[in-house]
Amino acid sequence: MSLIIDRGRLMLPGPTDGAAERRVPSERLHLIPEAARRSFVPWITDLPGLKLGENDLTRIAPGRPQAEGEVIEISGHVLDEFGRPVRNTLVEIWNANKWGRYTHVKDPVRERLDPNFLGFGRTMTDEAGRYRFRTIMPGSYLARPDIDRWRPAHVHVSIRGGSARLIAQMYFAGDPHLARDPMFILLGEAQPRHFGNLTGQGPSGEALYNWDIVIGGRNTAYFES
Amino acid sequence: MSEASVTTNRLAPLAEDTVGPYYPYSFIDGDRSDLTRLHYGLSVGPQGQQIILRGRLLDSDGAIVDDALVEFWQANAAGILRTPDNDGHPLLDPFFDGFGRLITTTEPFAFRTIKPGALPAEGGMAARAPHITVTMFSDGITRLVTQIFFDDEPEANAQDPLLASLPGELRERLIARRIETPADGPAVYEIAIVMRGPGETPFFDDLSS
Ligand SMILES: [Fe+3]
Repeated sequence: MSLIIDRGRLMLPGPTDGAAERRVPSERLHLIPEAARRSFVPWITDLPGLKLGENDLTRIAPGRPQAEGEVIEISGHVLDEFGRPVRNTLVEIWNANKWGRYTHVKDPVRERLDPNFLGFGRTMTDEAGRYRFRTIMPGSYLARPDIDRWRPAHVHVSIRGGSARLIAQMYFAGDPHLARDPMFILLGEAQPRHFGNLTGQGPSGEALYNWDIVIGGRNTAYFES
Repeated sequence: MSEASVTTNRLAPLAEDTVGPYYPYSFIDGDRSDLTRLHYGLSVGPQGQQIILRGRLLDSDGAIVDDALVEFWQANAAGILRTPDNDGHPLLDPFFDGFGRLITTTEPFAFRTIKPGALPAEGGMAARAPHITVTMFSDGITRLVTQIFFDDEPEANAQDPLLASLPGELRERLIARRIETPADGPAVYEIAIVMRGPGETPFFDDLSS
């Protein structure tokens, strides 16, 4: 019988979702013995083929009418903690429409759908780790009507490919709902790096946001030399 | 952490988040819950014994967790992982890359694949019993990682360094049980992954993997 002398982190349920209390392990995570470490990091080689325009959420397809709301552009780099670009990795985003509604079948029907907005898109980073999206400024939504809790405007992001894996959210500075959003509050001193940085206006007056996505320790294992 | 950031030039990573309730199902297009049929219309496929890993992802009430994003990662039948370290390895299987993915429903999930081989000892790493790494994302959690083993590999399991790092009663919770199936079909293994509560599955801290 082995004696456990060291343990990993304790995951804590966040206050944002009732399910967390039923899904977050009560025990600390277990440390991985060095002799077993190699196989924990998936290396994903076969990413989906992208179609033209999949990084433009403002239209369902090229040539279709533009969705309602304020067009914004979000671009930046995907980087590891050492500042190395994460190349050729899949970046997926999803966000609510102008009125705060997702097209997801499980979004309760409270707000309008926009027939010209699906609310998700994807792209691959280039050789410098750059990505770029155009989307509609998401509306706030009432996540918990029972306690009148609103989510501030946010864009969800998933990074996947090679050995990179991250789920995160981008927020907008000045949003009045931030101060009462438990998910944002929980970020603590990490809050500033989850803001898109407004850098100017594009040719059609769209707000340009820069957001660099830094992937942390356990998400990256292999880099090309 | 903050001390390290003033003494090194490392960038601070973003915080890992939950996928939330509205992860687009469409992102699963082109992903894989069946690694034995990646190549449509070809009469060739991955080498090895076809299996189905049937799993129930359970919360502390014993209810099946639906809408969870589950990712799988495994070696091929020869025990070779498709990582950059193994580029050009003669035992890589051209019809198998080892990464699978699905979203759970209110039914048990079924991941169809081939049984991974034991990983050989190499480069300071111990030999590993056949296993599948399972990563879970769902509303309410950020990311959970564990590895699932097979009950018909008792000798290999007894030597596995990850299983050996756990107390005996926790080891059992990572071992999928083979159930009776028709001889001409794939072998079916069953596992319950308990996220919290009695019988809780051990999960691993892969911070620096
Ligand atoms: Fe959201």
